[in-house]
Amino acid sequence: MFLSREEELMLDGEFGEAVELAARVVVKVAEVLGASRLMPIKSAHISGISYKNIGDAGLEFLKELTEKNAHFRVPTTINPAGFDFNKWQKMKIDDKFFIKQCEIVNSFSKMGARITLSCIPYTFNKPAFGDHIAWSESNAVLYANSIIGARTNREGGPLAIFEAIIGRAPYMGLHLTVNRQPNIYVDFTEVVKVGFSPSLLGYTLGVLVKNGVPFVKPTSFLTNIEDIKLFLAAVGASSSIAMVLLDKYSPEAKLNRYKLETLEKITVSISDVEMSKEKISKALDNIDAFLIGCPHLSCDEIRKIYLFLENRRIIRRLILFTSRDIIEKNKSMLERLEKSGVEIYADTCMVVSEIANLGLKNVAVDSAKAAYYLTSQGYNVSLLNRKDILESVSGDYP
Amino acid sequence: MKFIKVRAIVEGYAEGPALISKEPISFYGGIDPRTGVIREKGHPLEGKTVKNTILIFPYGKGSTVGSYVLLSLAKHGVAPKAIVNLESEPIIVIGCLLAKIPLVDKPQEDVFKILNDNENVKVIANKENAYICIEKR
Repeated sequence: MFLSREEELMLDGEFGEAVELAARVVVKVAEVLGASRLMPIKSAHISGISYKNIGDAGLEFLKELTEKNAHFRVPTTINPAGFDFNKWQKMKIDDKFFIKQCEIVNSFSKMGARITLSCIPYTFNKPAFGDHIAWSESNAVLYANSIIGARTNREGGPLAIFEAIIGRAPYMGLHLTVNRQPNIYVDFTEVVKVGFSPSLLGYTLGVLVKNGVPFVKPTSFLTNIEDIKLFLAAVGASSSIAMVLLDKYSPEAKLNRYKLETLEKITVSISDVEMSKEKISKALDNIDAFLIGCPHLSCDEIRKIYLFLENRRIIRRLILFTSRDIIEKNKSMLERLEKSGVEIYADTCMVVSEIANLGLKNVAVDSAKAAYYLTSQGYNVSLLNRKDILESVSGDYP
Repeated sequence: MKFIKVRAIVEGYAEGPALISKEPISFYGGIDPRTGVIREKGHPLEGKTVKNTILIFPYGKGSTVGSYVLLSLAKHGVAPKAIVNLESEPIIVIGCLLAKIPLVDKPQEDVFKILNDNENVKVIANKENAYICIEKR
C-alpha cells in the first residue's frame, strides 16, 4: 500500500503514541480490505457514545486514548448519549451510569470533539458535494452519500475515532466514483399509491436488497426532507447499505444517466412491505407514549410539529428527541410545547437511552429504525405515520 | 503434522485448543467481556468460554463496539489466544490489533471440515509466511 511521507512518520511514532496507534489501525484495516492508499478526510462523526452501548469496555478504551493524549485532527461530532444531561434525574439514571457517561463524554471533549450528542451531524457541519468524510452512524452516512453527495463508507465507531485522530481514511468503497454507481434498480411503482409510510418503505428496501447501491424510482412517496430522512434511516437499520440513489433527489442521480435496463431489477410488492412490517410493528391496545425523533428532529420538523399542535390540547404522552443545539435555536416554541405537556429530551434518543425508565413498555413511533431497535430491546412497538401520531396525541379545545 | 496456509493480519504466535463456530460471532452482546463466556441465545457455542482458545469462525457480525469487547476480554485475561477467520472484517481486525491477539484469515483449506473442537492448533502469523498447524494426519 502507498503511504505518504507524513503517514510513514505517523506510523513511526513521530507524532506521538496515539497517532501511531491510530495510523497502525487505519493502515491495517486499509490493507485487509484492499485499499491502495489513505486519503485526507474533512470531518468525522463517531457513533457508540452511550454508556448503554459501549459499556466499561468502551470507556476503558477511551480513557487509554486520552492518557496517550489523543487529539482529533479534523472537525469531529459525536452521537447521542444515554440520557439528557439536564434531565438525567427525571430519566431515572442511577449515579453509576451518570458518572460513566460523563467520563465518556469528557474523553471525547479532551480529544477535541464537538459535543453535539446528535445523530444528524450534517446540521452542525454540513459537508459539501464530493467531500471525503469518515462518518459512523448509519442514518448520517446514508444522508451524506445519498442527499449531499459527500463520500463516506459506513465506518464503525472505533474506526472513525482512529480516522479522526490521523485525519485520513482508507481510499476505497464509496470514496471511489466507480463504486457510487447503482447495481440494482428498485421499482416502487406498485406500492407508492398505497400510502405506506416512507419509513416502512425504506425498511422494506433494506430487507429486500441488503447491500450495494440501489437506484430507487419512482420516489413520489417522498414528499419532503423529513420523509427522506426517515426513509434512509430505516434503510440503514435493515441492511448494510450506505448509499441509495434516489431518482429526482440524489445529486449524483441528477448528474448521471444510468443505464437502468442493464441493471438487475426488483419490484417492491405490497406483500413485501406488509411482511417487513410484521417484524417491527404490531397493533397495540394501550400505547403508553408516542415517540418522535429518530433520527433527531431538525428545526424544520420542530416548527411543523409546533404548528400542528399550536392550538390543540395534548391528551396523550408525546415525547420528542432532538439535539441541545436545536433546542437552543427553537427555545420559545419548545417551551410552549413543554408547557402544554409535550416531553422533550436532548443529548439522547429513544434507542440509546433506557425508555423503560420513563415508564414505557408499549410505544408508537414514526420511525421504522426506532421500531426495529426498540422491538429488539423488548418493547412493544406500533409503527405509525407522523401525522397519525400528532392527531392521536392531541384534541380540539372544548 | 498438517499445515494450512493463511493470511496474517495481526502477527504473533499462539497454541491452544480449537473452539469452532460455523456461525459468525457478535462480540458485542454475544460474549461477556469479563468472563469470555458466549451468551448469545441460540448460538452453537452458547455457554462455552473463548478463554485461551484458538477461536475459529467465519467473520464478525453486529455492532462495532465488538472491537472494545475484544480489548476488554484481553484485559480481564479471558481472551482467545488467537483468532482464525474465513474473512476478517474491521470489527475483529481493530479488536485484535488493540488487544494484541494474533489474527489470521483466508485459510486455503476448509478448516471447518479438517478441524475439531479441542484439537490442538498452532497459529504462526508472520507477515510473509503465515499458517496454522495441526498434529493429525
